[in-house]
Amino acid sequence: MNCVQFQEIVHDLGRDAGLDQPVRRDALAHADSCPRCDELLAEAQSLTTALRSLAAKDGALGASERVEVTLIGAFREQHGSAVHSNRPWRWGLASVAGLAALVLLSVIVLRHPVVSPPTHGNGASATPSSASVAPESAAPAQQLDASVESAANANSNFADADTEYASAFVALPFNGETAPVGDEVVVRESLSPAALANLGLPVSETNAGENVLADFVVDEDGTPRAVRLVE
Amino acid sequence: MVRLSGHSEDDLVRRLLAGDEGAFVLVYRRWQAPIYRFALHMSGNTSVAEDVTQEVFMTLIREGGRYDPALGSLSGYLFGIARNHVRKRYDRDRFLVPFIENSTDDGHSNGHAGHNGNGMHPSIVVAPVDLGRGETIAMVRDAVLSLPGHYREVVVLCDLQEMSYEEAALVLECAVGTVRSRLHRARTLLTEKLSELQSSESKSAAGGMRQ
Repeated sequence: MNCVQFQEIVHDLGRDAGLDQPVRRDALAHADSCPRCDELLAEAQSLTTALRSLAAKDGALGASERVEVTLIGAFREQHGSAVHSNRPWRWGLASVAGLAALVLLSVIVLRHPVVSPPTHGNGASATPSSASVAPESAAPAQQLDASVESAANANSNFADADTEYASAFVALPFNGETAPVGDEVVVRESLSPAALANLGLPVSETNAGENVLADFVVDEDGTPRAVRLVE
Repeated sequence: MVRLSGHSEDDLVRRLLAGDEGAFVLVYRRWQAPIYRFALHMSGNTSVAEDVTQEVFMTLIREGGRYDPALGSLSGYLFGIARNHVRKRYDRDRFLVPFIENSTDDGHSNGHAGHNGNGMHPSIVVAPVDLGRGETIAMVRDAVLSLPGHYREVVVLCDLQEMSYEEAALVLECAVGTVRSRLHRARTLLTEKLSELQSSESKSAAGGMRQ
């Protein structure tokens, strides 16, 4: 190996990388015999040491925790939205459930013609009605959903307290997990014994052959949330 | 194949792209510091380094599907993104150390640039560096930052990140021979720069003693 060849690989030699063993051996032999090239090799090795010192000094550096927090937030946003877009059936399912509740309410309403509320007994009405609760109502207070009660009270200006007695409101089993929205209305209907049974309400021998008045608390989206019987 | 916490790199990337946050955190924690240091040594600016690190992983989150294991390692992919972002910052922020393309570099073996006519190294010899001094580290850092961008990046990748020529070639999208020749030239420039810095420091120290 001559000096020109040596100088072409002196930095590889100084870095101790990228050289085959025979080439490396020849280069070191040349450096041993040439003071000038030996000096260049020392220079390259010194530079390597200096650079490694810089790398070691900065070895513990990294991005701040803020960057990780930001990136994890971005990751969640990216994949959170991807999950929603990949599962449109969730929205579909919610829509179907809402539709089913509306259909059920419609069936109940259509099967039982409504009567005017003031003339209790045979009348039917689909308008917001009087819904006063008689003070002697015997049903357990805990059955009353607070929002349902407020809805009933909000409509109490229709009340004819001298002529009506009502049980406590009972939450309907098919109202789902939807929280009350706070804009409920009370709708009075006349129910057949079969409809009563469908709702899970008791059908006694005394009312087995005739329709019974019932007040429904209905969400603003049409979902019936509670029912009570009115006499 | 690099393995992180028992998972292959490819597996982690697949999981990451499928929305596995744990996989993302593993990849991030493995590579954020090297990426940050690459950007820091290239820019000399901690804010830029932090921004570039964030942008690299943001790109992985948004466009990670472009990563093809057949074309190279994940680290090569990430460093490649980091390099592009650093270059963009140079274009945007004039206060950064400029990323100048040196016209003497022809992309091929040209380790003789700066040598004298017979291809011999000029008579510049750097005295063994006193590494016990913090100023020396700072001097080396300044010398690296003073290099033209395409020389600086090979020094940062090969000497500071300790990548092989092949790995660096993948990041820089050039031939292995180009990496080798650029590194040779870059180290020659560094040697000259350090020699200048050391001699000027010696002169100022001598001046101080006379006073």
